[in-house]
Amino acid sequence: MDITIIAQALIQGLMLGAIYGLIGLGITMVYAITGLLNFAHGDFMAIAMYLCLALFTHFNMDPYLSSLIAVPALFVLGLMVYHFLFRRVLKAELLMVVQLTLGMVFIIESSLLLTFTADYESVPNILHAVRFSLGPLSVSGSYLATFLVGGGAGAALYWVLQKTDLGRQIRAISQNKDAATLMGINTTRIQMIVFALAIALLGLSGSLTTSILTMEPYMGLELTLFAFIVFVMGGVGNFLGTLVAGYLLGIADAMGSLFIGGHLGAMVPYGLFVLLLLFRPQGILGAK
Amino acid sequence: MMGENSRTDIKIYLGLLVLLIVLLLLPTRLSITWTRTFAMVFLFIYWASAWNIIGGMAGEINFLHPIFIGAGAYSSTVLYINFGVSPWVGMFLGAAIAVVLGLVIGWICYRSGLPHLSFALICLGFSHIGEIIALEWDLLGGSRGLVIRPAPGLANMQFETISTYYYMGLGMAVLMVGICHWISRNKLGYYLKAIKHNETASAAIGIDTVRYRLLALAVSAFFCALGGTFYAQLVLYIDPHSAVSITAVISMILFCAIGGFGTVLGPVVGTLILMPIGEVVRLYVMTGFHLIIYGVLVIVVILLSPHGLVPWFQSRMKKTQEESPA
Amino acid sequence: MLVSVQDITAGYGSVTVIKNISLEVDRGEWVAVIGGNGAGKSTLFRVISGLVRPRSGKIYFEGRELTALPPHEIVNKGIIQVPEGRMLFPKMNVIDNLLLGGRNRRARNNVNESLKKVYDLFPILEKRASQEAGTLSGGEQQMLATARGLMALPRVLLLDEPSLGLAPLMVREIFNSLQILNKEGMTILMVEQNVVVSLKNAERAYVLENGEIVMSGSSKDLINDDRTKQAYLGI
Ligand SMILES: Nc1ncnc2c1ncn2[C@@H]1O[C@H](COP(=O)(O)OP(=O)(O)O)[C@@H](O)[C@H]1O
Ligand SMILES: [Mg+2]
Repeated sequence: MDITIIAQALIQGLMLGAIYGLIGLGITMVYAITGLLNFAHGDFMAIAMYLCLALFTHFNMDPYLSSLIAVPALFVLGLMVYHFLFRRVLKAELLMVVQLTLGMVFIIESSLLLTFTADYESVPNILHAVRFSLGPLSVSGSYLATFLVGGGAGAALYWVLQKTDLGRQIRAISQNKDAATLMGINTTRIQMIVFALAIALLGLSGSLTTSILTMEPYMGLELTLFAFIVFVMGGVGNFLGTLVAGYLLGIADAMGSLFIGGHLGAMVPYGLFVLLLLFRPQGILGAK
Repeated sequence: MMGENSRTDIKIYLGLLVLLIVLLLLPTRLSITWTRTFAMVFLFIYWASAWNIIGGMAGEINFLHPIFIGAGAYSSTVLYINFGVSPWVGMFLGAAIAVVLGLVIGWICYRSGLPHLSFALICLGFSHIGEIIALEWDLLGGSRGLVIRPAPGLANMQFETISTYYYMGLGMAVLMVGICHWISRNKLGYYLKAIKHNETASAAIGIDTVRYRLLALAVSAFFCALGGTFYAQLVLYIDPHSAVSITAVISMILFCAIGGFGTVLGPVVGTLILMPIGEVVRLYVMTGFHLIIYGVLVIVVILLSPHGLVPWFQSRMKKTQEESPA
Repeated sequence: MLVSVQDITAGYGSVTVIKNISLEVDRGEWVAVIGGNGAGKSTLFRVISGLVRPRSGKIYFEGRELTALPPHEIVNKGIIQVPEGRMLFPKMNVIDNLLLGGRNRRARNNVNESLKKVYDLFPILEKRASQEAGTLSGGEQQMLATARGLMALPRVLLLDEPSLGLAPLMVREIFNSLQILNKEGMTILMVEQNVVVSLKNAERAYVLENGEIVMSGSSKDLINDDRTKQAYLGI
């Protein structure tokens, strides 16, 4: 086997992994402080991508520029969805939350279908045609940007969680909500902000990947599945584990598509996940 | 107490009987399109009820059903097209495959005591893999799918008139609801309820939780697969998108959610309300819009009456009876 | 009166746990509420802190009503609870726990002085500063919980069973520190099952039984009261 192909796959995997880690981190944060599992998570990334598509077709706007609109727009959308829906099911059983968010999946996916048709789409960005090479290896500029910005955002968020007052509040709520309240933390507000932040991260991920991932209205559920897989692989609720799992899954994904290819190659990440769950059900960094 | 309960029951049974009579007479008044639609509604009542055995009664987030339905649809169709085997026979191969797949996946997952979410993800992963196999395997027709040549005849499970499908679907739905009713009144039903409520405590009082969950899954898989064959014969065309469909299982979950999870009549009520509304919207407003309606209705019902319409209705009936003990 | 609880009735769901409770705490006082397991002591504290909404009744702090405020605003007013079972953040180190204690609006500009002060009071915490709270011994955990409460610059400190699960020696050490604080002017309202320790330390006490106050008075009077002797001191 050619070593450059492996290296190429590794590089590509790391770049996808940065995005998987980022969308997984959103799920992990929301779960840690609300206990909610959002099956429509990935659909919000689809919304962001289609927003970029619309801005591109109508105003010829570069997706990187569109992120300046998509991120705040998704933050506000997140605030609204939390306020009108999620807040009301905080104490409900898991199954009910699953139903509610599956209902949202239908609403978002069908709305996208009706607005944009079922055609496969992608939006090029300014770096798409630029290629950077190092010896025999070469990557497209948009992959590199995705890795740097997405990976950077993941690392920055991790730093916020570990080192800042906001992060300390989030971790406090996740470890003991009542105690956090007794510290004077406005838990309701933090929950809402974190949910919106998780959705805003999807705005960023979506704007970064319009040229890398193919858009179609039903893409959300598969993204959600990947985000959940990263969330579980990292060891439910473990922030660092989520980021690591993101990269692992990205590499598995890239290896699968480069060495096996097609639909069969797409099965590799699931295979990795099933194996991991069978042999290490608590996840990579999860405690027993 | 006892008397009131049985009076409520009698009212419900009478209501169901009237509904059944209406449904039996309905095809004489329906257009072909609507007769076909109702055959599909019955199929979904049947499927949603079968899903409800493992999903609602045992309380797990189970997404394996696209595989089960696909196993049924593809087995009977492949056998019929390539070897001329009657779907009446082929459907049992499909059911057997579904049961074996369900038991293997279930056995691995239940034994290791995976949490709900991990299990749901594994199910989604397997359903995805099932879809990919259907796409990749030439025998199954790949993305172009398989077309069943029309050849009406009882042996081919194909009928001249669409109302025959209607009655067959109605019969299957009634049968499935009967089975669910029977399960809910028997040991399996009680055990599933206990497991749903608290799996650890159920194991502690001596319930073999793995065994009963597997049993429920096997029953659910078996009947879903048979429904898959019926679907193929009704539509005479299957492809990975329609026969191994995650959208279909989500629809079933939402139908159960609206009607009432784990209740016998929940899937019936939920499907009977949502699907015809969805169909009207699909025909007269816009195709694709019906899923939005499903989603909105589910959210509204969950916010207003979290346990679904059947439990809500039952508690209302009890209340009015307590107020007027006539 | 600094704190005035008036006719509070509260519970969970359809169950009523405390009924028509009234009590008062004056500035600088140390008041105890004593009662057995399940009497409703923690519920009373959860109502004062705003974690449980009362069905009826009102709570005043410096003459202003607290009952409608959200919990974090109650903390911002200086009503600080050290909850039962310590409720530390087990996966955070000692410093992070203390910093969280000191992040409310009144306390946040004073964090460095507060840290110095609690380290003076509980020197062992400084040694354990970077250790995870979950790995501390029971006594150290109670010290950390108390210190975390002090970081919030309490104007009244609510202590829920500070002696729970501690060895007698450790109980003495904790209460010595509390005595120092009270001498310096700290107002303390404490609930306890340990009647002897309570009446030895607090100036006044209320006796809670099945969610109702059945007796109250100065600690001296209560110690000498025949009913208390029989029911609680086993003399
Ligand atoms: N979260 C809760 N939900 C329902 N009942 C509770 C809850 N917390 C406490 N209780 C009940 O309220 C009663 C009083 O509890 P609590 O206030 O903790 O008493 P204490 O602190 O005096 O031991 C107990 O019977 C307990 O079972
Ligand atoms: Mg208590």
